[in-house]
Amino acid sequence: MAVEAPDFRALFEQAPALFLVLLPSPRFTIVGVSDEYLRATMTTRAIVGRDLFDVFPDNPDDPNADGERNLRASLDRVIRERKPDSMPTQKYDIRKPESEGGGFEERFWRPLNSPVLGARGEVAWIVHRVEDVTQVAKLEKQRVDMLEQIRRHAKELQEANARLEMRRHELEEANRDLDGFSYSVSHDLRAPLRAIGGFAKILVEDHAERLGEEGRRVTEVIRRNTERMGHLIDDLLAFSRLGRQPLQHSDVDMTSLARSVATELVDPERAIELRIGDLPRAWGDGNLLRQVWFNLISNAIKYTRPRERATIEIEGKMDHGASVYTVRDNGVGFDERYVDKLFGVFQRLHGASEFEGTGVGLALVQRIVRRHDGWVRAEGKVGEGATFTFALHGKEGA
Amino acid sequence: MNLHPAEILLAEDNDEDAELTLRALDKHKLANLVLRVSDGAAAMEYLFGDPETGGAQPAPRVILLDLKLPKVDGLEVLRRLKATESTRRVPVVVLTSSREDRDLTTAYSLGANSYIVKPVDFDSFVKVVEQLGSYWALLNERPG
Repeated sequence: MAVEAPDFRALFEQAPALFLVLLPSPRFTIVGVSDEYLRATMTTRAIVGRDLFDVFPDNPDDPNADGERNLRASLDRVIRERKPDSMPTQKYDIRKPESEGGGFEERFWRPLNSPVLGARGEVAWIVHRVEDVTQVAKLEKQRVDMLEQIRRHAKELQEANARLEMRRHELEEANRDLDGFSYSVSHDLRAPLRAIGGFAKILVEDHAERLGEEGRRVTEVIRRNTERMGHLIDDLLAFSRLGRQPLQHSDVDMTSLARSVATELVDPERAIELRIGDLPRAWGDGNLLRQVWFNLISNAIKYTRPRERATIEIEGKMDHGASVYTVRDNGVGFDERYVDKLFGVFQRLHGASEFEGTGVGLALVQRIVRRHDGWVRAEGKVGEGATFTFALHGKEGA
Repeated sequence: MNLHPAEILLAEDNDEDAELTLRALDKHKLANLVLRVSDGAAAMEYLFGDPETGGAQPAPRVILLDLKLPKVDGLEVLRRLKATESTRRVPVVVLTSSREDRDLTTAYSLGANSYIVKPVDFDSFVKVVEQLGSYWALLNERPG
């Protein structure tokens, strides 16, 4: 039974593929086009009869546009060799209609140009078939760009790491040098100090008569100051070492730690009311935290000495994952205008004759707390006492 | 070297430290039991004699040893003391400038028996020597 021949034209124009049919002249006149192609290129059947490169010129704003050149070369090859020629992915931007704003839109295609031979074996037409690979090409470009970025960042990271490593070595060496230096300096400073103090004592012990009262007083001043210098050396050494010791973290029971330090420090001869609340546990170096309590509590005890009844309150709470502690006293307080100096090494806001001390205690506290990535703050009013607050990060926050 | 045998050997290079130590001991009449040497080599010679001519002195009852000695280091003297049969039972008290002295740890690991932080005062001396069990023997041996 004979089958009716299909309407080839309709088949051609409505086929699910993108193609143009071109005449094999240098003008490559368009003689046929599929609907899909029109849709993909935002054109209409009005392009039939016009020359290929008039309808589809290169994007004038793209200095690297080589679409026209490459397509021409491929079409010429097809004519010459009378064989299909497939092109690698080609960027060929498409003109946007004026109704869409005009200009060019970026597109990528994979063209295959195929000859259709006439009766005498000549190339009668060329079928220009394309796949719109814009999406894929764009993604691929992104991928390549990102890869390049990653590679570049990796290289920068490597170089930064190498520099860091070098820095670390330099720092380690500097620390070792400093250690050796502070050690021998303190050792060497102590020797003459011993002599000064020891021989001043000989003066007082063996020559008291000849010295007289004033002489003995003067000698006592000498001796007392050598003691003070000894403390300074000790404190300075401890402070300097502190910055370089590695931290040994553990779960610290701050309530018992504070209590134990307080028991050590409280003078039973004085009327001191010391209250320690329920303190949250801390994540840190127990030895160093003990020093923090030691310095804060001994300060509170020291500066409440002029009071008939000293009150010291120690409290703590958790605040957004950090453990925060306060030590409040009703002592002589300090002038808040100078709060910044409070934590400086050897900085004091009270004279040595009023209250003894080397001025390293709070600097030590600040250093320890900072090494725990925490902070410490002081508030006070002259004559009305002081409150010291310090915070330490929880385990996760560290 | 012509040294008389001593009950207490003091190895101290710093003259002032030595003077203060001797004064502290002199207060309680122990000074004439002390022989002082100023460097490690002299200490070695006193304790072990000369390898060629011999002449080691009888071991003292206690040795006060400063660690930083010229010629032969204090730690070296300590090492030899504890490694020699005739001297290893003599208590050695290390003299140090501070409790935190790093060499103290090394000294202890080499067998030092105790330490005194300088300046040596009589009370610390007594405390240490008492712990070492030598005090009464020392007192009993005092001449005059």
